[in-house]
Amino acid sequence: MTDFPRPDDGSLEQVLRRDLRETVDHIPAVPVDAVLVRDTRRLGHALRTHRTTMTLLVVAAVALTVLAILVSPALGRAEPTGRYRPQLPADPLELGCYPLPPGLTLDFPYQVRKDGDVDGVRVLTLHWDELDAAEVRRRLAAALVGAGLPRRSATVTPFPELTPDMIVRGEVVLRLPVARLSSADPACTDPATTKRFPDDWAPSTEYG
Amino acid sequence: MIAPLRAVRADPLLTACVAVALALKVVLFARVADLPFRGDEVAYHDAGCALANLVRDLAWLRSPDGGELSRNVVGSGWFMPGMGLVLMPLYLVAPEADDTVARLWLGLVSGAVFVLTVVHVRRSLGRGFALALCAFPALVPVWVLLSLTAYGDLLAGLVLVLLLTRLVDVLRAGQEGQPPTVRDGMVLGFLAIAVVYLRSSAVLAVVAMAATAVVVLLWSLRRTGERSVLGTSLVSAAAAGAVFAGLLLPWSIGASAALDDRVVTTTSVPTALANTFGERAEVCYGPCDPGSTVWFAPVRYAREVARATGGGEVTVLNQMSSHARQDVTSRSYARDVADNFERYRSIDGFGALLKPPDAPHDRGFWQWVARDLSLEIFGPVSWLVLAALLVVSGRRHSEQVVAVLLKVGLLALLTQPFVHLAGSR
Repeated sequence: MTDFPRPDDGSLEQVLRRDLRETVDHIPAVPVDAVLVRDTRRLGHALRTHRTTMTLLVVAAVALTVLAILVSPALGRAEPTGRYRPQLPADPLELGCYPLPPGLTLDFPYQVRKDGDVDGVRVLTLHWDELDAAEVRRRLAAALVGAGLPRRSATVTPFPELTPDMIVRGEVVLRLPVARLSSADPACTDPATTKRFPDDWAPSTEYG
Repeated sequence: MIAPLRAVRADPLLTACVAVALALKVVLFARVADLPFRGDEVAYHDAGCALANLVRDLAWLRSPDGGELSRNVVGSGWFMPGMGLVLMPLYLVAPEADDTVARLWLGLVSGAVFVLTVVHVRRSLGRGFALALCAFPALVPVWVLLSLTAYGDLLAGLVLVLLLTRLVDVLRAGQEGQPPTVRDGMVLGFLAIAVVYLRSSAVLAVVAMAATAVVVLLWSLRRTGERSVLGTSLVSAAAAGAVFAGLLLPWSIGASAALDDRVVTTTSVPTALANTFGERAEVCYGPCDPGSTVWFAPVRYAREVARATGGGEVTVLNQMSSHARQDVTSRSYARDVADNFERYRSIDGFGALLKPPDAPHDRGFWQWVARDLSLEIFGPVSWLVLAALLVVSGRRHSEQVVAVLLKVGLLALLTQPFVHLAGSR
């Protein structure tokens, strides 16, 4: 058997180069004509314009923002209405629109729910917080006796199904001598503050 | 560099559709131009004013008015300040701007976001989706009316669509073995938190879509098997989470400090649950004070309790809600959910909200346009939504990605009737 000469790397490269040349010859060269030049230029121009415009827009926006911020204090303040978070009116008993009988103070956390006169008796409804019913009864009894009022003036009713973590714990109804309006505070004419609601005020069960 | 240029090349039909949608906006602006802000819009107006004053104070190195911010930006913690931030630039340069100017500004902003959304939808999801967006909701009269109000629902919806397009882009690249960059992650995080700021109840949709996207992304990248690719993706996801949390924190901290309680997004959920499913006459352990609404009266009561005890009102509101809902049965709950779904599909009420105060209720051409015509369009589309949830697509991967994200987002949005008294918005 004859050993065929093994082509060395040099001749292999030559073969490859020749093949490549022949292949390239088959690919039509892209004519660098006026149209291509024009299109490429136009595309490049469009790109540059796009980039410049965007840069200018961003710079202008930033400059305008900075200017607006710097000038804004000289333009005056905006006035929010605050209507969605009105000031919480003071507690009606502390405000003293319709004061408690002389000597009577309530030394437990409470919020007034309803106040008004029924058949010559002032009926004041409160919810009390945090304390248990026995403690509230004890404190109320002491306060009532101290003010010379009968103990039965107060009815203390804890909520049913109380859980230990509940803050509001129950209802107190006080039956007291009728009180007169004794403060000139304009807030005292607002039923939402005094909790002496007119009968024609609709219950707050509507959506909005 | 050439591809993006080509992608935004003008499309006559799409341009015409966008133009029609914007023209409708101009026509309807003439209709609502005189209407003063109402309801929640007042709260957004106040937030915008207070934020503008904050910028003013910071610009001249004065100490900000904490009380004003607390009352008007945080308020009762019901609304995140997305719309306040949208209105802020207006009240910064025009502190005395009236509501007509404000509506014009809101129309411009919503118009710009709409165009941006259409462009992005076309680039990511294709021309068909973009054209569909121009028809629905952009041609529904009540939607256009809403775009001229300070309610954040509509902008939140558009930004949610933007978020969807970016997620689809990222997932497509992931399919080709390209992990998202840190920048991608930051943009996604920003869009997600923007949606939540505009409409906090969309948080569920955002979180559901984000979680799905992460799973899909990791699934498709897992096949490439390269640790570095997975690592880059996780870094990107972390960047998204960091931007989201970083932008949420100022609000959460501010609101928690103002209300002296823990607030993450908003405080309205317990009251909403109580009003929707509970006994409204028991929210304040009995009836709340009369002469107000189901929203203001419970907060007033909670504030009184907080004052008496020195605690936080949000905790009280939570307990009030539990109390009002203690008699909720599975039957009453199901009935309320069904009612909510009905309301979800009807636009009743919103047209009335937009009518001038002295206009007759439920009558006239504009009432017909705002309500009946909108309903005619919205009704069939809401059934299409249901169909979209049921149809399973077996086509190309990228289409499946879109379909899955849409389904997850829609399902998350449809949880609304399960937790809140649904409204026409």
